[in-house]
Amino acid sequence: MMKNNSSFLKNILDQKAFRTVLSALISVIILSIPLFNFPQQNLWIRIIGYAGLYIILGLGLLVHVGLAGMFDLGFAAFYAIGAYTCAFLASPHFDLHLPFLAVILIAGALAALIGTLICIPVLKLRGDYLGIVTLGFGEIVRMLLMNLTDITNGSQGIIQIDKPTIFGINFNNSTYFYYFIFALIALLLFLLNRIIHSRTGRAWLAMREDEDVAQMSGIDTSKYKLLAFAIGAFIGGLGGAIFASWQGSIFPDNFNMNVSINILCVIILGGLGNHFGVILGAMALIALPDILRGFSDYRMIIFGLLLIIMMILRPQGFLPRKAPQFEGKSSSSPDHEKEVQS
Amino acid sequence: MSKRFVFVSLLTIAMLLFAACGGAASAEEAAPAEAADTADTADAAVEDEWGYITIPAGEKVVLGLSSALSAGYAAYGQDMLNGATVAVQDFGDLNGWEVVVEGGDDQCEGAPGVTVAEQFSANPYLIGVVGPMCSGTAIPAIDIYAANHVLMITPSSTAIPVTASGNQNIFRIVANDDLQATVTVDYLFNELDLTTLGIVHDQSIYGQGIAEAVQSKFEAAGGTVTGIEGITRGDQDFSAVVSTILEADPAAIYWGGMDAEGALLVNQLRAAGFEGVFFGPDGIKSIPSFVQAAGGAAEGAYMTFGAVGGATGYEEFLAKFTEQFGDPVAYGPGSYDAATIVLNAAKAVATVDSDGNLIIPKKALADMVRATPYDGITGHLEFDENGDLKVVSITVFQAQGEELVPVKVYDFGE
Amino acid sequence: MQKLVEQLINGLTVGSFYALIALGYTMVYGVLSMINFAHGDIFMVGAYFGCFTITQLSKTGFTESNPVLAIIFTFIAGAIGAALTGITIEKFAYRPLRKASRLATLISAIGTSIFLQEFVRLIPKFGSLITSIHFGEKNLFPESWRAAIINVTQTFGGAMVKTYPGILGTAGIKLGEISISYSRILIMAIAIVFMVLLYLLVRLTKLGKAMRAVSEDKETAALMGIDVNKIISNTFFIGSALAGIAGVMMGIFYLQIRPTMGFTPGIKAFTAAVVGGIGNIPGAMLGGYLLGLAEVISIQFLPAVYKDIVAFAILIVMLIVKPTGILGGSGGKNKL
Repeated sequence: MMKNNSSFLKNILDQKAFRTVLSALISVIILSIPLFNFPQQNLWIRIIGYAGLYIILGLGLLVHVGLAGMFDLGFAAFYAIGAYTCAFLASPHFDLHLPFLAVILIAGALAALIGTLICIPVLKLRGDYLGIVTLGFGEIVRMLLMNLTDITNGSQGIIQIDKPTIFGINFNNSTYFYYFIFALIALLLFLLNRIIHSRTGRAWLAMREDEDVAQMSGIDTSKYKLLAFAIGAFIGGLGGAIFASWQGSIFPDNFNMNVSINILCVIILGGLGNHFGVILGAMALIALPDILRGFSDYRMIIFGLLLIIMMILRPQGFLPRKAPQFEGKSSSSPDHEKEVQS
Repeated sequence: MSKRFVFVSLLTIAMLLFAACGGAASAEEAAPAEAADTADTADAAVEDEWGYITIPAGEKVVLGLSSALSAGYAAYGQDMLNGATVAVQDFGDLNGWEVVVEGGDDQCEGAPGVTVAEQFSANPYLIGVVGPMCSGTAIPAIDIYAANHVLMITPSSTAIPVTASGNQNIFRIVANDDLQATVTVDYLFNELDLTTLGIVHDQSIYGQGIAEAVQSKFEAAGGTVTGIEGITRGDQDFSAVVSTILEADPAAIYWGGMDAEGALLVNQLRAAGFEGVFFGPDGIKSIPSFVQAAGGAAEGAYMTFGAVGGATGYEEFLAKFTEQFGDPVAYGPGSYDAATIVLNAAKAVATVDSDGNLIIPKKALADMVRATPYDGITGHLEFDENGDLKVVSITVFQAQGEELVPVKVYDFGE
Repeated sequence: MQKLVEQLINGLTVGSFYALIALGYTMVYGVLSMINFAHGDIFMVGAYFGCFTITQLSKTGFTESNPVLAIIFTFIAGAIGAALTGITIEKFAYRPLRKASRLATLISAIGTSIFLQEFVRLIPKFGSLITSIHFGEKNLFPESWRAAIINVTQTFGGAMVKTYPGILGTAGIKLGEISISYSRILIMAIAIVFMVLLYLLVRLTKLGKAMRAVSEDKETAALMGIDVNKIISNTFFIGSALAGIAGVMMGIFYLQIRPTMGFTPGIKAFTAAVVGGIGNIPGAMLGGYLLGLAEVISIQFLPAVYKDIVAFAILIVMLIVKPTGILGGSGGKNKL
């Protein structure tokens, strides 16, 4: 443990035992919300469920930004592709009604494919330049969805999207979506954990620390960048399909730049390292404005202030990335603090 | 690491188990909540298939209002809230129970609108919702209101799918875009004798929707649409669109969109030398944000809107409204009427049970709204089985000086 | 042909706006390596200060009698208002995060952006709130103050669009077949003048040298005796002032301002700055004009709805060809 004079809060959050207990506690709470009838239950199912959707999206973006170090400002594009794929395959629009599990996988796959294609020309770009290009792609996807009216119905959107029927259970209630989302989150957390501790994960870590050095030490950075982009996009596509079938109607405006920025906020608040941080980040960012509803008119201005204050108080996010442990370097060295902060 | 593996896989298994039981359990939970209402009202002579709203003595009756209360369209949303507030003031109490308006900020977007819908649906003292303001918000939110049998009446969502769902609790007291387009085309063609039209829209559900409706009707009437272009909301400079649309030299230009961009557009059209007719939908009917904002370029522009003024009680409404809130923006009067309709219907079907609770049967409430004609400040309001107005009055206004003068009224329905 | 030239002039006009705003982005990026997401909203604040000034001046008839002076005052008000907002933001929302990661500052900037938009929208409400503070029967402010506060807050901000009084009109000059309005000329002239001034400032003055030093290496600059905080404040001041001037220009030209007006130009200007080479001042100017022209050119060939798609596509292609921006910048070196 770092011995320094930082605040009690900081120390608490860095304690591993505390974090495990917190995770367990949060999981139990999340699991039990739909089980016990309490006032405004449906509202909370909706709010937490929607935060859950952003957790999924956050995990996808985390692969891009947090794991592979690629600054992505246009993640909503993959969300949109997933959503529209679902809408095409399971609604009266083209009169196709494929089963949901197939739809969600196709949605993810299509998003991954497009993500890979987008990534190929921009492999050489770094930092903020990559950010701009991804921002541009995000906007281009949204605008295409808006203007290819014959295919997408343009600004009128696609409505009456099918509700999923999985193992005979029809999802006519938000509760089903709620559990589906959190089950998927658990699965994703597990899979991502495996990937991070695999060779791919180590390659990403190396690329993130210093791309040039990584390349020189023999890592095929192009391949790993493409892989990261594809995986992250896949996850985004999954989220999109869930959103489309949950909300039942989608419009191009549901996927604008604010959405990309929100997802980015989620993972930065969460800490950009630990994927469990994404959960906290999503809860904070999504649930918070809804909790602030009591302030009606002043809701957003308070929210803006809170973002600033949260960053000033804890700039590394809730659960920051642990610095890589190197041989011979103890964790109480004076450099450690600085590394963790970056 | 393996500890985490175990933890996560246990979590996954737990999730799936919960999903199987929890989903079913919750579905049962939702039903008992409704059944409980029915069972409670032992005194109710008639069974209401949607359940009852039970408001104990001393609690307040809540009227919900869903609109954009913050961010970009807040001016319109606040206006709606203000209209409903005045309506509640005018109405007084409901059989002795105090009525309050509760605003839900949907920011004119789908997802917040659904959250607001859930929030309102979860409120046991809520009798109905005025709004949502925007069509893109209404369409997803309707699913929630319908599932919970919450009365919803919107004074401003004009897109056609809003009342196409067949739900019995959804109402609209504004003409839909189809009718506005019909009026527009008729006026252009028959009153102004114009046969060439250029169309610009803002790529929104509302703006593009009505623009395309105008396009198809104008062409069906035998006119020529010389071009249809879309602008990006948020841009200020439309010079490129302006020059493209003017290339074909149309006699008139139809704008599908809202006031702010409409003002910019008409200004830039005139600056580019366009002298023809400028026509727009209800979204531009605003003196401060269209007529004044365009600084003189709006002179002579036409727009369609539901009839306001000249109907019963408008002057009194205006006096009360302006005293508290300044001039109404656009949907304040409509919101007033919507709120009053809900309250009137509630008063008509409400009973008091032996425990002193106010009981309002939900389906009877919706049926009462549908069955009761109402002469409001926006005109005569009577519903058909879809929840749209049977008789709709659309007025064509023209900007003259800093006034919006009605120049022709169209009536639809019997 | 005439059409094409007129369109090119339109593109240059719009490009002037983008360029001025992009300059502020790039300057701040240069010294702080941060993307000031709230920059577009500083542009908006400048427009509001200008609007307030010109409205008040018009009420007293000053604009009638001294139009040129009125316009100059409006610009100054817009510039100073924006500049003060900029340095305030820097002090409270960004300086505490100087040692933190760039992404933390990005979030803080996003929060600031939301805050500024909503603040301007809510100003009249704050005005009524303040004037209603009372202790028992007695109000905090005397009657005359209250009226003044309400008047000022109502005039300054609010949810509805505000309008600049039309000062410039549509008169213009004609070069052969082509007509260019005075307003367009004014906009381009102002943009070019300020860009040149900025360039000279950065190249020739002591302040400029200090700014360049801080951009290169903050720590070393501090060791050389440069007051880094002061330089950063100055950079924000100047960058924000330029945005404020662009805001006033936008108000005068398009007449209309609203709290959300900064978002789209902000994003576009940011794009322009990056394409030109983030951190590079001539690059920002170049990027701004390129974007303006790209938008206009695309409308020649495709329906107007594709304008933004084409513009983005062109910029992306440029970045792919030249990954560090056209004139080269510092953006690629920064780790997340």
